Amino acid sequence: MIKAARDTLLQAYPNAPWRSQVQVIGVFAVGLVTIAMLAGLYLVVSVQAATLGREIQDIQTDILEVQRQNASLATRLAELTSAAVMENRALDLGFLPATDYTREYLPVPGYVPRQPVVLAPPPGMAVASGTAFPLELNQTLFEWLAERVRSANFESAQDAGE
Amino acid sequence: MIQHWRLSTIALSFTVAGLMILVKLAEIQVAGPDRDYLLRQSDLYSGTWITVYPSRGHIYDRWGNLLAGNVAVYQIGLDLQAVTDPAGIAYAVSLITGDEYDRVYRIASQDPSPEVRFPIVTDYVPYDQVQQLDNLRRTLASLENRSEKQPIKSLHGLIFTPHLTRSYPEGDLGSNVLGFFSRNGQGYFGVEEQYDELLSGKPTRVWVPEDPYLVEDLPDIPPGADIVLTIDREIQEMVEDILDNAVTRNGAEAGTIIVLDPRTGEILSMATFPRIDPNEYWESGEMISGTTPFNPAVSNAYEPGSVYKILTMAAALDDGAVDLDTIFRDEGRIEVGGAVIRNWNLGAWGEQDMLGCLQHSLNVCLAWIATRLGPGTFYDYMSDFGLGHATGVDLAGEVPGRLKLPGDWDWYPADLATNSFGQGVSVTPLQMAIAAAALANDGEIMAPRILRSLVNNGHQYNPPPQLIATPIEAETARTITMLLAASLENEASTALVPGYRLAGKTGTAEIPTPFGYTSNVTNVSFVGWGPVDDPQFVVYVWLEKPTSSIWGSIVAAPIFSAVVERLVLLMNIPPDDIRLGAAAP
Repeated sequence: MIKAARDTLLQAYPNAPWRSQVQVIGVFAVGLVTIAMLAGLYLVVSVQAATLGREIQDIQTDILEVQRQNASLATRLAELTSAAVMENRALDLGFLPATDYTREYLPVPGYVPRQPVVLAPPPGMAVASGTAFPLELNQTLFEWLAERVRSANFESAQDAGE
Repeated sequence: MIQHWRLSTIALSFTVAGLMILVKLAEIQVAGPDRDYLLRQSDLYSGTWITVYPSRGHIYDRWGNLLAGNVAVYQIGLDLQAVTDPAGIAYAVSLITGDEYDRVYRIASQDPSPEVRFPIVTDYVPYDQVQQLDNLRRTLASLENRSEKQPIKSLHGLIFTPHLTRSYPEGDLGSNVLGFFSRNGQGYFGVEEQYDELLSGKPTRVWVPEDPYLVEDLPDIPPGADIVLTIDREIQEMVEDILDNAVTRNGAEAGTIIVLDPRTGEILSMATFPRIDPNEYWESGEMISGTTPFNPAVSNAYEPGSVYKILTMAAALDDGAVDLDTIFRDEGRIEVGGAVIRNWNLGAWGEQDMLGCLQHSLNVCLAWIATRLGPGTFYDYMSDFGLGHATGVDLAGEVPGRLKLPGDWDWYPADLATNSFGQGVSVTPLQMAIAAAALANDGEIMAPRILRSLVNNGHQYNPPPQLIATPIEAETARTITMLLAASLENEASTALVPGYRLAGKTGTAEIPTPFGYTSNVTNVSFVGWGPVDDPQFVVYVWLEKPTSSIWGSIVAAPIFSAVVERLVLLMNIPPDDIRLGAAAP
C-alpha cells in the first residue's frame, strides 16, 4: 500500500514537480504563521504585563503621595482647630470664657461624661490585608495559558452538561 | 559542483561563527573571569534598594487632639545633565525659598560627572513653595515652546522629591512635654525621646526593580505607634497662659505649673516657661544645648522651701511623734546640730498647735518636729514620699534630686532641721507634686505618667494606673488635708477659690550660693489640691526668682487660685454645695 503511494508520488513528481514544492512551502508557511502568532501573542501579553508593571509602580507612587497628602491634611486640620485658633475664633464670635459667675449646673440623670479618645478600631473589625496584586499578575505566561485552557474546558463541560 | 562547494563553505562559516558565539556566551555566563563583575553590574542597574521609613506615629492629647503629626515637604534637587539655565534656577529658587542665590548658582552650574549628577539644592521646602516653582517651570517651558527666540529662562533639571517631616500643629503648646523630632531623624527630650523607638516604627529596605516584569507589591510597612497622652489640651493651654502672664507680671526668670490627678497619677498639664516652638527647635539653642533645662518640671532640682513642711508634718502625724493638739512653744529660735534655726520673720510666735505651725509656716516648730521624729524615721518617710530618687515618669531627662541621708559624707545633724522646712534638700517640681498627691489620695502615691494609651497595629493599649508607694495612712492624709484647708481659710489666703474647699501650702525658698544663702532673691511656690472631700487635682506652682515679691503667699498663691478657678470648669467639677447636694440622697 505504502509502496504504491510512493510509486505514484515518484511518478507524479516528474510530471508536476511544483506540487511537491508547494507542499513543502505550505508546511513551512503554516509553521511560520504559527510561530508568528505565538510570538505575537507572547509580545502582546508581555507588553500588557510590562504596562501593568509600570502602572503598578505609578499606583504605588500615587498611594504614597496620597498618604503624604493625608498626613499633611490631618496636620493642617489640627492647625485650624488648635486651641489658640479656636479660642480666637470664639472670641471673634463674641463668646467669653465661662466664669464662676456665669455657669449653671443642672443634674442630668444618666449623663455620661466625656470619655478619653479611642483611636483603634473596635475589636473584631476585619482589617484588609494581603497582596494588592490580582493573581494573574503573579503568573507566568504558560501558567496563564494553562489556566485559560482549564477554565475553557470547564465551561465547555458545563455547557455540555446543560 | 562549484556552487555546492561554495554553499557548503558559507554554511560551515556560519555554523562555526554561531558556535563561537555560543562558546563565548557560555564562557561569560558560566566560567569567565568577569562573570562576577558583570553580574554585579547587572544587579546594580536592574533596580534600586530603597529604605522605606514608616510615617512617624502621631501624638494626641487625652481627647484625641493632634499634638504632633506629619506634613509633606520637598527636597529640591537637580539633574545636572538637564540643567540649561543655572542662573534662572538660582534666581527662581532663591526668590521662592529664600535660599542664597550664590550657593544655588554654584550647585546648578557644576558640570555633571559620575560623582555629581543629582546634587541636592535644599530640603524641607513646603508644598506651596514647590507648587510655585513647579508652576513657574511649566510656564517657562510653554513659553519656550512657543517662542523662537532662545533667551527665555528655563528651570529644566529641577527635581522635587517629597517626604514627610514632623509638625506640631499647636505650636509651643506643651513643647516641654513633647520634646521635638530633629531633622537628623531622632527624637529629643520629652515624649519624642522617651518613645522614639515606638513612634519611629521599623524602617525596611526594599528592592525596587527597574524591570517591570519583576515589579512586586511593596511590603505593607506599618506606621509608628500612635501615642495618646494624659495631657488635656485645654487645661495645658489655660495653665500655660496663666504661667506666661505670671512670669512676666512678677518679673520671674522661669516658672513651672503641674496639674495632675492624684487618683491615677495622670499628668493633666505640665507647663513651663520658657519653652520652645518645636517646629523651629533650632532657634532655641540655649535650651537645647543644656544651659537651661528643656523641661524644668522633671529636670530642674531646687530647694523647695516651705511647701516641704507638709511632708514633715504628715510624717510626724503618721508616726505619732505629734498630734493635732500637741503644743509647741515657739521662742523664735532652736538649735539643732550646732545650727541655729529661726523663723521666716525672725520672730517668736509663742504657743502654737500644729495648725498654727503650718498656718504661720514656722521653721522653728518644724525643726522641732523633725527632732522628735529623729533622723532615721524622718528620712525613711521622706524617701517613701519619693524624694531623692526619680519618680519614673515616662519623660526623658528626669533627674532624681538630692536627699542627703545620715551617713552621707556631706550630711550633718543640722541638715535634719533645715530639711524639715525644705532647705538643704533638692527636688524637682514633679517630685514635689507627687509627694503632695499622696496627701490628696489617702496616702497612696500613684506612678506619675504621661502616656495614657498606645495605639499600635490596630490595637489600643491603656496601661492601668499603678500604685507605687503608701508613705502614710489614709487617716493621716485626710487629717493633714483638713489641717491645710483650715490653714488657708484662717489666713484668708489668696489661694482660695469661692465655692471650693481647698488644701494647700505656700513655699518661699532661699537660693543657695557657693557662700551659703546669701542671695536676696527666692524661689516661690504653692502646692494645693481639692476639693478636700474628694481631691481630683493637685496643682503645683513654682516661680524662679520673682522680682515683684520674695514671698510665695504673695506671688504663687494667686497663681494657684487663678489656675483652680479655670480648672474646675474644664474638669467639670461643680462647687462643693452643688456637688455635695447632688451626691446627698
